[in-house]
Amino acid sequence: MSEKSKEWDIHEPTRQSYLGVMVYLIRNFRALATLLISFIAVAAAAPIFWTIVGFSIVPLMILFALLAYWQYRNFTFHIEDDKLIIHKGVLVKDRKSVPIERIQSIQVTKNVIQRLLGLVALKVDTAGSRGNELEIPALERDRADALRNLLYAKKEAILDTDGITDENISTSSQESDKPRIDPREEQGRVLVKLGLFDLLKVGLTENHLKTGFIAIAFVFGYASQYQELLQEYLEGYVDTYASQVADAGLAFALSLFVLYAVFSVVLSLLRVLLKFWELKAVLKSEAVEISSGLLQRNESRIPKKKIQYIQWETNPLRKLAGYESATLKPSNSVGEVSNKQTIEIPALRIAENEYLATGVFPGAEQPDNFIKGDPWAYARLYSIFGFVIFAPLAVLLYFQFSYSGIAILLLMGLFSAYGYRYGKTVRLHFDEHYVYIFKGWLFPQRVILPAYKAQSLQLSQNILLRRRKLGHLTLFTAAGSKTVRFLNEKEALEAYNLLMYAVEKHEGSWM
Amino acid sequence: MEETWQNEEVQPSELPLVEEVSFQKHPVRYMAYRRLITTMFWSIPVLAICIPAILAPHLWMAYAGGGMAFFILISFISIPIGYRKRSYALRERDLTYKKGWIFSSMITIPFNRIQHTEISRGPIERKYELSTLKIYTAGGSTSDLSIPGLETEEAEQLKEFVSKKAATYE
Repeated sequence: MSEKSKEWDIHEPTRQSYLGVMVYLIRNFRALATLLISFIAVAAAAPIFWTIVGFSIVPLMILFALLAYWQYRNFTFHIEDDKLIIHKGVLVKDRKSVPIERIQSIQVTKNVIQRLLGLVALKVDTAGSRGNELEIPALERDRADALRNLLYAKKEAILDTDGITDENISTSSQESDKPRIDPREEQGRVLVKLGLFDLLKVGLTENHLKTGFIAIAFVFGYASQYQELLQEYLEGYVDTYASQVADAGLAFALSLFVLYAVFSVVLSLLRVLLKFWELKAVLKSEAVEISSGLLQRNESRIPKKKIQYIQWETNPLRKLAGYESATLKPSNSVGEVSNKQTIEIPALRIAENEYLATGVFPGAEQPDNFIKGDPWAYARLYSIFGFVIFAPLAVLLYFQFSYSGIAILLLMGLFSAYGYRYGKTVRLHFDEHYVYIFKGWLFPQRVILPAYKAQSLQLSQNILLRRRKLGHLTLFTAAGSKTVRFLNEKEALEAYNLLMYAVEKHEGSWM
Repeated sequence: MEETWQNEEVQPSELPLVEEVSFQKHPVRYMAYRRLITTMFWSIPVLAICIPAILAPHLWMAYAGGGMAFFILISFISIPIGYRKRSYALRERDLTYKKGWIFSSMITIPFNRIQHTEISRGPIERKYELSTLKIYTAGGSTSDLSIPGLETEEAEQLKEFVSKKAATYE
């Protein structure tokens, strides 16, 4: 530990790094700039505003700079009675306090400015209602680390003494076996480290089919407009000439498509490089730690017991490169939609997948017992999708090209076949320890979920499914829900009863 | 995390079966409550069609009215049918709720996963002396369960029972 942290008493209200003034200053100037930009729209119309802006800019800047100083001065943090307390605010004084045992996770992040100043931000997420987040925006690196470790250690200590006496005995006996490891000292095992080459591969193998579909729709829309114009002006010309022009139109459309494809590839490459730059994931005995990002660098640590399930996804291209991407879903207070703590690892090799699964969920093993979705039910569903998309199209094309236009209805068959093929892949493996869910043909998806992480189960049907004795089984977890569709009703109920037994049998915490 | 799995054998035939529990129905006046709610719900679109239809009739209004009549019919038919489908069951370790006619579902929440419970009573519910029991689990609202149309006393007892059970697991 350095000199600085020795003289630093966390129980006394402490200010952030003095460089924090700069962080606030830049924040405030940015706010001022946006304010001015919105004014410029008005100012351009009436010249008098320019003079007003001209005269007020300097006083405003001074005011905002002073504000930054006061923001820095009034921001203090300390620990008191097992609570993290933050005082802040210039005009409106604000005091926030969070009981340490309620802290869910602590994130260390830095954006470009913080990085230039050599500072980091500490974000503390708590259980409870949304918006219950504390941020200390300007800390020195070693202080942030020290504070983070201190908070985690205190939380452990509080939870240990609060626990049931039985548990206390067992943990203390464990402690005598192996001394408690300081989470900071522990090296852990590097799960994955992504270099530039990996990231390039990831960027190139993003789901371009999705963007491709959008591109095709775009080009179709454009081409049809073009065609109408052509028909209007070229009516009465010789057929051969018209077809040549149509060819040119096609070439134009094709080049547009290529342009768009290149654009989407570049875009996803850029996104991947920014988000996953130098990604490093480390598996420790009690947590997963991950750091990544080029401009905004994020470091987060998620306790393993908070992770509710892991989901793997891939696509044909990425599979070819030998990768799968994994998402680790921790429990959170806000719900699935804005789960900021989700860990995304875009490229894992097959062996690393195995290690991740057993590393996070000890003893994870795919149960032999499984039930399947009904592929015909999927085929029916996709036929309906196909009909909704292609029937109006067929009507349109009929008016354009007479009966040959109806040929597009053949594509409906393709949809149904895809549905059947997709349905073939839907499986739910389960026993009282683990649930493995598989689905997807071109874009296979796999979920590993410890059975006891389920919070409630739902079997849903509609009138038609009831007649066919089929149903959807949904497993709700603290990190969102997973649904397996078109299962045989009786088999689904067997899984329902067994999983409910697994949850009710489980003692202790699951999140 | 120390995880020691005891691997005792489980015979699927020995598991308690959720489909064989005896389910409890809601009080009959829940149907009256539903009828009032449904009437109130439809009165606005019906007025929105009827008033212009009287002032300046058009053919499309007849079509829209016809379509709406169909949905109104369905929603009133579904009140008694849905009432028969709507029921809850308590077991030692969990609570199960079944509902729905056209779209039906059964949800089971084990007591050891319940975060908190709540009773709410809206103005119309109060008129019928009914209460809604809300059961919350962690992680967003998707898995929260609300059981409307309970006898007020029944709801209180249920809440008491459920929260006591849930508390033993903390």
